[in-house]
Amino acid sequence: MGVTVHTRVNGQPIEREIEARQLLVYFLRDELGLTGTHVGCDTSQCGACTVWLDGRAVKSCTVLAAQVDEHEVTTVEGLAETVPEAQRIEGLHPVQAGFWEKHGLQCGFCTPGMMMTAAELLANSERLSQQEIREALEGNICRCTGYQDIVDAVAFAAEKMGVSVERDVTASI
Amino acid sequence: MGTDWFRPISLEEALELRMTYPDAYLLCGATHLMTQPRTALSQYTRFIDLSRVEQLYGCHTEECVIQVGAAFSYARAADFLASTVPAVAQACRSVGTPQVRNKGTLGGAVALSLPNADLPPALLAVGAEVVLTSTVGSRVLPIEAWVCEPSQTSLQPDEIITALRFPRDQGPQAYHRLGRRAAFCFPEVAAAIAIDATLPSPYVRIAMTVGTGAFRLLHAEQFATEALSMMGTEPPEEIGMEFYGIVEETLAAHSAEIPEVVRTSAAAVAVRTLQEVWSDGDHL
Repeated sequence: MGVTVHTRVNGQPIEREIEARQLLVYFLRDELGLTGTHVGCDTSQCGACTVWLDGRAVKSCTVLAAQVDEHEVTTVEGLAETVPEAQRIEGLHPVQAGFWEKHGLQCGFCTPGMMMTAAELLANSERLSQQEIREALEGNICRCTGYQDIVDAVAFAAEKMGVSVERDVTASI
Repeated sequence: MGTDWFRPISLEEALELRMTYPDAYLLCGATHLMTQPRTALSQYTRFIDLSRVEQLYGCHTEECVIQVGAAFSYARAADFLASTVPAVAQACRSVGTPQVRNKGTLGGAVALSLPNADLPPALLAVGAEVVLTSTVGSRVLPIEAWVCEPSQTSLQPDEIITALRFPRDQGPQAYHRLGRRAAFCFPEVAAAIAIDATLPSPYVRIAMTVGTGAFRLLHAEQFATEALSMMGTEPPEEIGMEFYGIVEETLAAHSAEIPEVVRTSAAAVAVRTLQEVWSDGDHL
C-alpha cells in the first residue's frame, strides 16, 4: 500500500503517492529533481543530505518521506528565500555568499548540507562564538577544507545577518 | 509485500491502533530506526507514526515535578529542562548531532533504552519516571523499574509511552561523557550526578554507563553523601582521590568484562562530575 504525502517543499505544495519506506533524500532528488541535496554516506554520518523540516535541520537520509506529510521542507534550492530580500547578497542567502567569499568549499560535495546546518544556526541565534559554530557543524563532515574556511564563511554570513560572532583563536573542531 | 503506515492524530486513535496491531513499529522521530542497517527497516510491515499525537507534546509543571511529553525532541527538551533538570538537559545536548537532536525524542530514547546511550544515566541520577498509557488508563513507573535488561523494558503490548516526569529544582546536577567523536558515537563512559538538596540532609545520586548498561553506584552515593555532609561546599582533593578509588572498585565488581582503561576513565569522569556538582554551592 502506498502512502499519500501532502507537503510543501521550498514553498511549493506537493502531493505524491510514495512507498512507505522511501527516504526523504530520494524523494527530493528522484521524485522532485532537487539534486542540490546530496547523498553522502546514507547512514546519518556525513550530513551532506541536511535539509530543513519545519525550519529545523535534519538529515534527509534518515527521515522517511512519509514523515514529512503536512510538514514543510526546505532544501538548498530554497535557502535564499528563507531570508528577507534585503539580506540576500546578489540573490544568495548570506551563508551561500559566505561560502563563495571565504572559499568555504573545495570539491563542494558537503557544501549543501553545511549551508543548511549553518543557516539554521544563524536563524536561531543572536550571538555566537567560533566554538559554537564548530559545535553546530559537528554533524557535517568535510574531507577537503580543514573546516577553518567553513567557519569563516559562517562568521561572514553571521555578520551580514546581524549575528555577532566572538573570535576564539583557540577553537578547534 | 505492502506496508501499512498509520498516522493517528489523537492518543485514543494511537492506542486503538496499538491494540489492533501490536506488531507495528511505533515511531516518532525514527532517528534510531533510520540509522540501523536498511534491513532493519524492511523487518516491519506496519508503522504507527506518533508524531502528530498532540497529547505527546504537552508539558506541565507541578510544585516538585515537571512533566514533558514523550514527543519532545532532544533539542526542545535540552532548552526546556536546562534550569530545572540540568543533568537531563546536558545529556540531551550530548546526543548525536544537532540534526539528530532536532528529530529524536525523549520517548524514543526511553522506549529503546539502549544500554550505552546518553540519557539512561541522567534519568537514573535524577530519579525520572515514565508515564505509560493504555486504553484502560495510565501508570507511572520509576525509571529503575522500567529497564529490565538492556533494550528490554516493562512496556506492555497495549501501552504507549506518553510522558516523562522529573523531580524539579532539587539541587546541583551534572552530566559528562567520554567517547570517540561525540557527534557519531555513543559514550564509552558517562556519569550523571544529582544532589537532592531538598532533603534535610542532601543526598547524592550517582549513575553511570560504561557501555554495558546504566546503573546507580550505591556505595559511591553513600560515600559522597557522607563526605558532603562533613566537608561543606569545597570538595578537598583527597575526597576526589578516594571517590575515584570507590568508583573504580564498584565498576570492577559490577563486571569483570570492563577493561581497566575503561574503569579508570570512568572513575575520572565521575570525579570531574562530582567536583562540578559539589562546587555549585549556591544550591546547597
